[in-house]
Amino acid sequence: MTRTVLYPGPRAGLRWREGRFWRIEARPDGSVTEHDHRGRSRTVAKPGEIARVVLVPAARTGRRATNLLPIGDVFALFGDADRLLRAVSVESIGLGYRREFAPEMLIRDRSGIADIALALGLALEPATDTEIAAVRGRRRHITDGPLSDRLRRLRALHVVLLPLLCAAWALSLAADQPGPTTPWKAATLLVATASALALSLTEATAAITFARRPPIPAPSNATMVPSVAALTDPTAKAWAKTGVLYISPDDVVLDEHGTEMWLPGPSRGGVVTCLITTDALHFVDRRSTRLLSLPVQMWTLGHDDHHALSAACEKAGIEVVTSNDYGDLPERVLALYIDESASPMLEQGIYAWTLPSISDHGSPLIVTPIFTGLIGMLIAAEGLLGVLPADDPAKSTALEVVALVGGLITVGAFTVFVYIRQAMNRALGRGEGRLGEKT
Amino acid sequence: VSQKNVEFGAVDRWFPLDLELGPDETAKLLTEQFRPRRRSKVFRAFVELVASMPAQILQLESDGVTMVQAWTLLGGDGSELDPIAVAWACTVPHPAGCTPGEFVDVLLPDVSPEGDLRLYQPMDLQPLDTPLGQAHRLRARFASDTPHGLVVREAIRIFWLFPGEEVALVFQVPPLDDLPLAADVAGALTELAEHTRPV
Repeated sequence: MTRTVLYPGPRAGLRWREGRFWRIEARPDGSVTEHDHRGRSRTVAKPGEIARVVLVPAARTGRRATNLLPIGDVFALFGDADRLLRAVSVESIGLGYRREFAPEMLIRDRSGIADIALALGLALEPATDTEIAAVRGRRRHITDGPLSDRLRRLRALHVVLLPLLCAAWALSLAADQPGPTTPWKAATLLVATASALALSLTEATAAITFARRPPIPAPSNATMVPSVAALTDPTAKAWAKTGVLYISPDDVVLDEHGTEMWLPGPSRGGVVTCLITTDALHFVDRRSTRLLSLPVQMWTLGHDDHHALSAACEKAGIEVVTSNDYGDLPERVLALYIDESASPMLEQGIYAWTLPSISDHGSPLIVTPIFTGLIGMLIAAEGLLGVLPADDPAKSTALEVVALVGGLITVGAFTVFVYIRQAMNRALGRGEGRLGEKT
Repeated sequence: VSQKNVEFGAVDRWFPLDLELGPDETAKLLTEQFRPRRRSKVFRAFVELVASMPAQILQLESDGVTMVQAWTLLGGDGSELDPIAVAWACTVPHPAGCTPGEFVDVLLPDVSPEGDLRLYQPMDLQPLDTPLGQAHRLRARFASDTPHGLVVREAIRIFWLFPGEEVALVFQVPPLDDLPLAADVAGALTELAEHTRPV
């Protein structure tokens, strides 16, 4: 069947909920529903409401409409009279391929946006000038995923707030005498402090949620296929030995190395073939696009000994094909692109490809929020010194409270930080290893 | 109509492929013409792919259809070897006095409302003024059912019917299932037609 659900693919670090739950689904009645990272659903378009399904090329997306980052091609749903219903960056639903490694055409193929247009009875069209203007016209509405957007905004707020808070603190210290005791100053201090603390807490909560990531809720009809790396390769890394595939008609899920990758299964028009070659295992869709490639020795005991995997695939309705030669190129007559991403994936597993790095805005990095929170507290203390008269008995009590809360924030933040590091190491299967260490 | 009395102009993103050259000669020409800015493994794969095209295109000759020229369309500004499509010019025989509408049936004989291959949307047939005379551009999206669901592809042709002749000149690309790419290719192929002139 034609693809009916768009998946984000792998999401690292704090964004794991997005990979597991965020979906855009074309229903049989012609409506479109979006499931967010909390599993809540909302109707994007009612039956018959979608008039056009378009692609805005990367060169014309414009930075204003994104989160100020260049994000490549954009997939957009329009109602009548050029009414924009939803705009999504294609890379964010490209099942993990990044523009640095793969051509836009390949990412587009992997995303399934052309198929979802067919499922809606339409066709994916290039956007007209009016439609491009509609997509470019509104600020920050092209989504990378609900949680990715939120985390990026949060990080941006920290970056803006931190120097502002530092400046406010430095200015108040530099003043010869305590500032005037005006309600205006008190209110400013309160707002600055409260927002800094709120940001710190939000980020810490997100980090804790990540560290407490619950196991994948395997559907009852899914078959679990554990990695056999421990048997086939005694020197295999710990994470390679603990990898698991869940295969069901709805989803094919890879849980490996602290990262989840969800792919649409055959009932959603995703994976239809499992191709076992001499060196690789490919989950392939109906257009012969390889959605996931894995090293074959991690999942089968040998090229001719793949009973567990084949049984799981066949039960889910995925055809198993073994081949002694698949070559480097996707199997298409006159196929005109090269799948550049597959080889690094095969060499290093999903690890190098999706590991949360410092630059990944989904990584649980809470150093910035700690500083924002602490400086917020310092401003509060400094402000209280200025606002309250010198002989006010409430002053010392207030300062004690500020000092106590500040101390708790510091201790709490560092505790969370250590906890996250340990949780990350556990998730990455490194045992005694340290975060950031090359395996 | 033949290669002798038509001149195909140079257009930036279209890299001409000589149908008389073998794969090794084409590969040599490509490595001389382009520098590998992408990873060299990818560049070599692209060279091999493009060099194999002339032979694949010549295999499509049949029933009086004669290949005249081929091109590959390059992505970006055309300065790198980044092939995104392939096109060819061929001569196609037709009954005398054939109208553009009738010639479409010659070009797409398998498309029928009830058949396995049916039109997905109404055909788009537009006249086009070129130095070689009036041409027509056809864009037709047709659907077919596969065991794994519906597939929609776009066929793009630009053709010239010459009065008193029974052979037409046709520019053609393979059916494309990537419709935004098809729109790009249709524009580029139109540009190529607008640079085609009589000798």
